[in-house]
Amino acid sequence: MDGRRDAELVNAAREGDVDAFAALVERHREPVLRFAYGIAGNEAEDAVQDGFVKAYRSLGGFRTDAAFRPWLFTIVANEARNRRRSWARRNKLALQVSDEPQPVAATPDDVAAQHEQRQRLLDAVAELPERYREVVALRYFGGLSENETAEVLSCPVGTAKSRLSRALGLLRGALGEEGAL
Amino acid sequence: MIDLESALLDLAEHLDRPTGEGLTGAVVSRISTPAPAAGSSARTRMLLAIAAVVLVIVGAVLAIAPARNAVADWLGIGAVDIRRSEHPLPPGPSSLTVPGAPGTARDRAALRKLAAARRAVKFTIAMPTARLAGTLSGVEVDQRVPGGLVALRYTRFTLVEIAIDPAGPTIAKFIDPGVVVEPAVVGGAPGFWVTGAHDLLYIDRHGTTRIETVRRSGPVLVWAKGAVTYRVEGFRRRADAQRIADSVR
Repeated sequence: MDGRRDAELVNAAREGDVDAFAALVERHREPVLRFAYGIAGNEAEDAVQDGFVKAYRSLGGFRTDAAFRPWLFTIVANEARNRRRSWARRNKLALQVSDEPQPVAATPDDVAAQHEQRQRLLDAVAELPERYREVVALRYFGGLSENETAEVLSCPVGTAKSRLSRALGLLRGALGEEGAL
Repeated sequence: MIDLESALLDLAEHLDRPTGEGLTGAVVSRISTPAPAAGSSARTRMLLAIAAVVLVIVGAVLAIAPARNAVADWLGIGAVDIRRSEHPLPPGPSSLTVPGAPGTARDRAALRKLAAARRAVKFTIAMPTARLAGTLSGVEVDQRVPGGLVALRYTRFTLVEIAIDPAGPTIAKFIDPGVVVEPAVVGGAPGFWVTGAHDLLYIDRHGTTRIETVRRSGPVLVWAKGAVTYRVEGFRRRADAQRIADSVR
């Protein structure tokens, strides 16, 4: 993993250093893919790939004093939104079939119950209106801070916070009064 | 019971998302290729062919280079394809038939039209909030663009908002060789300032470029945010366009 900071990699990439941009892709691809999956499902990889390519080609317009991550998410969000409509809603968001070692004490029933809980939560996220699903995907799937989330959404931090709060409220409502988790 | 926020963070680790293992290689391969859209797609080839037809129609005797050479630059953003011609295109027809073209008649019922426009397009219409904007004088909606297009006319400029169609761009810009395209950022979103004259063509939902819609346009600031592409047209100075753009909410 390249130890240089994003800003250093961006500056190098602007000078045509493709390896520096590759390091940025490696660094950010996981959270960006998780976020894009929450928006565009199986179209996520195409959205992310196109997003990175557009980001590279737009580096000339990137303010060097700005943070790279929210700027990248802004571009990928746009790509993901563009693909959302072509991604059929029937293709619902899915969970991995886990091959993780389970706790020794976990019974098959425990594992199944946990999977079911996660799927219920994921279904509830998928059913959120777009503006709420997006803020959830940015914050929890993409791992952005509140400030970064607001920047991607081009709104004040307070607005992003209240939108997230509303999204969590909708999720709680969808999962039942006990939170069902 | 598990805290909902913790559950969402846990969920993120268990999504059946693409692994992205080949992503870095694919991106590097694409960015290492110098001509991103040098005639590589059917739509590009079609656009270039249509551009050639336009030139013939207006009677210009210009040698059109092969597609690969004719496009010296390509910058796509949202609903708009921006392509550079090798030769300056002759002045287009004076009729402003392209969607979003500024009109001349002042519309006293602009606000009523705005309310109707809000119902007609599939996105939230944003408005410039800067004092510089002045009073809204006209509103036009064009629903040939999937999702809709709205043009808000002010005295000094026109703000056009275009729904981004996942199927591809809906407006093509052919810019003259001498025109500079400068990267721009509006509210954190990427965009471009096109410094001079260019031609606009409308691409319909079947991917056909409507040659009857060609017209000349002056400098324009274009950017994409969310599912909408915006353009501010009418200012000669980038700073004025940027002030309006930055105030669009």
